[in-house]
Amino acid sequence: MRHAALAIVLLVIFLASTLWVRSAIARNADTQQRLQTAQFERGRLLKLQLDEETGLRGYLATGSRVYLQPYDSARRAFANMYARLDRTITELGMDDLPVQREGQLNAQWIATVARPALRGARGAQSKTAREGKALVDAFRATDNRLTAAIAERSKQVETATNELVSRVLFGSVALGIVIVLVVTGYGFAQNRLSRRLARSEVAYERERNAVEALQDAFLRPQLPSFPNLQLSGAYVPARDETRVGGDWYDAYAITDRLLLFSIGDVSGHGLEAAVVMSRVRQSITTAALAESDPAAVLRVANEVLLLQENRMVTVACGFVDLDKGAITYATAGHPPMLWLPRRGPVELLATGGPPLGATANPPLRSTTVRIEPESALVLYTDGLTENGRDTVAGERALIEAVNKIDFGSCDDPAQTLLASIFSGAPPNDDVAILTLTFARASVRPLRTLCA
Amino acid sequence: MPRRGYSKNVSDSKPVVVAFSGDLDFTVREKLRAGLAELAGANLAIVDLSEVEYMDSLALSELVLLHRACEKAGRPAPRIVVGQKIARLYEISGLSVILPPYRSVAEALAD
Repeated sequence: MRHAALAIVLLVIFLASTLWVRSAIARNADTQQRLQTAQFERGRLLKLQLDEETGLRGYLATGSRVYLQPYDSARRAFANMYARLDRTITELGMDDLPVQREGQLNAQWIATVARPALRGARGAQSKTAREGKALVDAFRATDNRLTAAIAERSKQVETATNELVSRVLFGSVALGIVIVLVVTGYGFAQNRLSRRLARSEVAYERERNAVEALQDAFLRPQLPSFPNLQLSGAYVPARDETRVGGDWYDAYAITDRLLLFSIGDVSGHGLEAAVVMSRVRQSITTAALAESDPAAVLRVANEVLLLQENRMVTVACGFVDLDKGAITYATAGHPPMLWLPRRGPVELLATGGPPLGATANPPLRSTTVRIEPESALVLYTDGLTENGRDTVAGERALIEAVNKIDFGSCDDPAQTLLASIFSGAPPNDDVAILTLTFARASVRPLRTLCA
Repeated sequence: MPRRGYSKNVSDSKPVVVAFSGDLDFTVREKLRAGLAELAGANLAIVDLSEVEYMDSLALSELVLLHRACEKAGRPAPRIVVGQKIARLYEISGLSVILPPYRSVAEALAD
């Protein structure tokens, strides 16, 4: 903006000075023309005076009137040429030049020399020779002064023009340099700005790519396969790209009859949240290999989190023990899981402790649910229920959507649920869903089948 | 939006109350932090959320950080006044386990 204003000011200065210089040079050229005219008219006037004198002298010497012809024509032309010169000199503003003196000398020469001689007055011959010479010499001297003055003026004008031209040249070069500097500076600033923009865009893009790469790795876990237990997961990143990162779901087969599942949400977004997410998941998985109580698993994860981060994480995690026909779970600040029994309404399973990272020694407890054949468990993150910022309405909508799904025949209940809640529109926040569908035969122990 | 509390006296044993209203999401995070920072050093911190309509997980985590700071300084846990609008959200968040909600500032002060 500042550069644009400067450029306009420079342009205006350039245009104004160009116009001024043009008119100054034109004025000087006009003056030179007039000076040339004055020089010409002065020469002509001198020649007329000399013609008059030559004609008179020829006549007096020969008595032939033929010689009076140049005298007569010069006399006729003199007044006119005199008026022209006088006007030219006045126009040039050189009123101090003795143009009138030439007129007076001529008139005096006519009155005191030419007329008496033509009348044939006595003694006119010698008088003509003497006075005539003195007057014509005075005329010449005056003419010399005129010549010199006009030449001097012409030289002055030429010098002024030359100076003007050189000054204009210098000014143009200086202005050119300034413009080049301004343009270069502007270009440089622009370039730096666009480079910086490009850099920050690249940095942003890089972070986003990193977050996406991490999430790809995290969120497309090969869900384990169990006989009679169908797992289905779904994840959608937030609509706003900068809000991506922090939600996860996981499922591992610890043995072929024991499943660990977890779902969670790290507060915040971006790469940092994604990194915290990976750590928490890792500590949950690690703890689950040694602990069979989900509350104990979350306590370990809480301690690890308090050691490392200043973040809050909500989690629901548990074990499905197909041998015992039971789900044991614990939650930490996480929205309630939905339990769909074979018959009867959808249940919101009891929630437990505070989010991980909130306090040391949190009151966490484990809860057990008996698995029924043809039942299902739905886990989700709050992006699914809080998209409209009304938790109660969100839960109601979720229960309605879940009720519409036939988990027994649905291939991918998680995706179906997602589509049903958002109908294709991207959510405001990350959303993760994990569903566990228990088939009709799921609770029958393997041993019984073999026997 | 953070609102100036009923009392800002930090030096003595008087409780300090900071009230918020509207949606507490990532867009007002700095204001939320600035508001909660007024509670630093208070003998009893009271956060009035009765006019709050929504909180995201980051806002909830700010309450957790306040709780941890109080714990560390050996001061009583902050008292959180929760209105009807976020009652369910607050319950689900699990914060009610460590920071039981109060229904009004008066109740929080009386306790």
